[in-house]
Amino acid sequence: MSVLEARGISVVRGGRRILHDVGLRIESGAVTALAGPNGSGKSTLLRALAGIWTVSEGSVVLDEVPLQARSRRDVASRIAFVAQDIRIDFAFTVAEIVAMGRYPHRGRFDREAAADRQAVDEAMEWCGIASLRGRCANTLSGGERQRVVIARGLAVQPDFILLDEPTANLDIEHAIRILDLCAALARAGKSIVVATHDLNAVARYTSRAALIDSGRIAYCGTRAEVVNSQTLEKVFQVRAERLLSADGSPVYMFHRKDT
Amino acid sequence: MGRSRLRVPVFYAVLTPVLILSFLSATGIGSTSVGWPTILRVAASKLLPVGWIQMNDITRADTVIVWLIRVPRVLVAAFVGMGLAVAGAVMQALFRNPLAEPALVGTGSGAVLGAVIAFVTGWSARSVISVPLAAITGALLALVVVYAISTRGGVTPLGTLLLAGIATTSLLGSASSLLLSLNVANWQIAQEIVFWTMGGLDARSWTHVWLCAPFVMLGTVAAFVQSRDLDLLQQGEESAASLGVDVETSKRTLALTAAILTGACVAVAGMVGFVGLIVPHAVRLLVGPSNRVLIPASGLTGAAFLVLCDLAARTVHPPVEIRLGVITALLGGPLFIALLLRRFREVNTV
Repeated sequence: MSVLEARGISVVRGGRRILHDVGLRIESGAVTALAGPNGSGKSTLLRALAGIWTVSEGSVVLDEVPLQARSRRDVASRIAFVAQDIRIDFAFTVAEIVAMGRYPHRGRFDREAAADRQAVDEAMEWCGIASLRGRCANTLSGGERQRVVIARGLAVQPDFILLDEPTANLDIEHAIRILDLCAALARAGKSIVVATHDLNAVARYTSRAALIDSGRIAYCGTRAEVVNSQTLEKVFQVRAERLLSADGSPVYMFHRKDT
Repeated sequence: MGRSRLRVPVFYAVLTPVLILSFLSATGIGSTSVGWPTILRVAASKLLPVGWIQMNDITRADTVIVWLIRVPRVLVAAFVGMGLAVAGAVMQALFRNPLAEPALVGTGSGAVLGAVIAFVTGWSARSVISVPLAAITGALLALVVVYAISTRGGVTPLGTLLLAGIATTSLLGSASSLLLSLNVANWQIAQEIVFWTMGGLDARSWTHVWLCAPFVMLGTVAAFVQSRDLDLLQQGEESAASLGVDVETSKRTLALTAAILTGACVAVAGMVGFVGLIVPHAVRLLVGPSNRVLIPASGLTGAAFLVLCDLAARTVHPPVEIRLGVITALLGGPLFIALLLRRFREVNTV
């Protein structure tokens, strides 16, 4: 069972310190949420965990080996990152894009093997895009495109899938489908990390969470420990009203602090 | 739509005869026409061991026209077309923009300024390789300047690189114009500069072939080797990094590849516009955006396209040669519009 861990990491970008001495352990088989106000550093933490941004202090450790000590391709074959800003400007087909998820496993000029094709087919099946395989990706809707990129991450067959605001640009139905997909993947043994500002999604779909405030981890633990009226009020500077939905799960409504 | 793409073998089945025919006709047609059998026999006699080919009935004049005048010119046209098309494919993928062109990061105007300096200072008269060397040096120096302006802490944002490229292009362009204005009194130099900035292949010799061919081949192979990184970079830098690309190193290598290709082409043919923009774009519409297919296909299409353009440039209005850049735009423009319209009919997006 793989473990991905941030150990006392600080990240400095453009002369500004975005993360301060952050420690976080990602458990497998769970959906872990990174939540926090805009600019709190949740997306930065996600990129540091994926090894896309280098840390200036501390280290991100995958199975006791720091990411810096691993090759870019080795990291890429273990940790998939699904960006928020999905750009598909050229007329690649859906199948071609998902197949790019196999690149970390192959040499520059190696041909696609049967295992590669199988991984691609399975990933498209999981994300419900098998029927789109011949479509040009630049003709897809936002929700379809998001699923294509998640499928590309799945095709890597990684231990960890890190998603940055996966539901930010989606309507409610597509957002729910993506979150259900994340939960299903976690049940299948993958470790999912989602950076999001959708606190009700955190309350409903994740098993573990970290609340990030001004570049530091404010709260970290199981969902119940982390997501409650007190913690949310402290981190987001709002009044959080806890309601119960029909199935008994908590839903939060937010009000200005002075109302 | 993916389905409207040509299969790769079909594409080459059409392109290969076009390429061969363009070579043969460009060598045969001109102020003196030479028959194909003569062309093939002259070429064979030069390439095969002495005595294998009977040359008794071929005149010395024909041999000179074919081997010393036409063949080097056709080869330079082919290599320049190939180099510019591949450089364009690289830049379009790197900048994720189908309207990007080889000279975008200042390399084109750097090469022009290098050559203009060679003309103005009189180096151009000393040796046939002085202008090409000055042009290649100018291209590489321009890239270094643009990269130095746009890089902070080892990171080069594409937007900044593009803006620095545009600023440097106009700066170097006006430097060339300034030198031209100052030398307008010297009609011969001014004419050389103007002709050169419009692009042309008159009086190209084997020296020019040897000057550009190694760089074009090297650049094309380098671009092909990096084709997978280019595919990934087209998906965005973070996606590329998460799929194993060392983004900054890869961007530097790709920009350098495009600069070498552009510099070598501008060095021997002047500023030939439009090829690097239209050929990769058109080929992408035909075979799809995967760079492993696109780069070699663009290179060979660019070669055939420029050989035919040069043939048109020197035959449509004899004895005057029309500038090559004018022909590429006149032929390329309508072809490009036709492709766009075909595309519009199929899907509503381009």
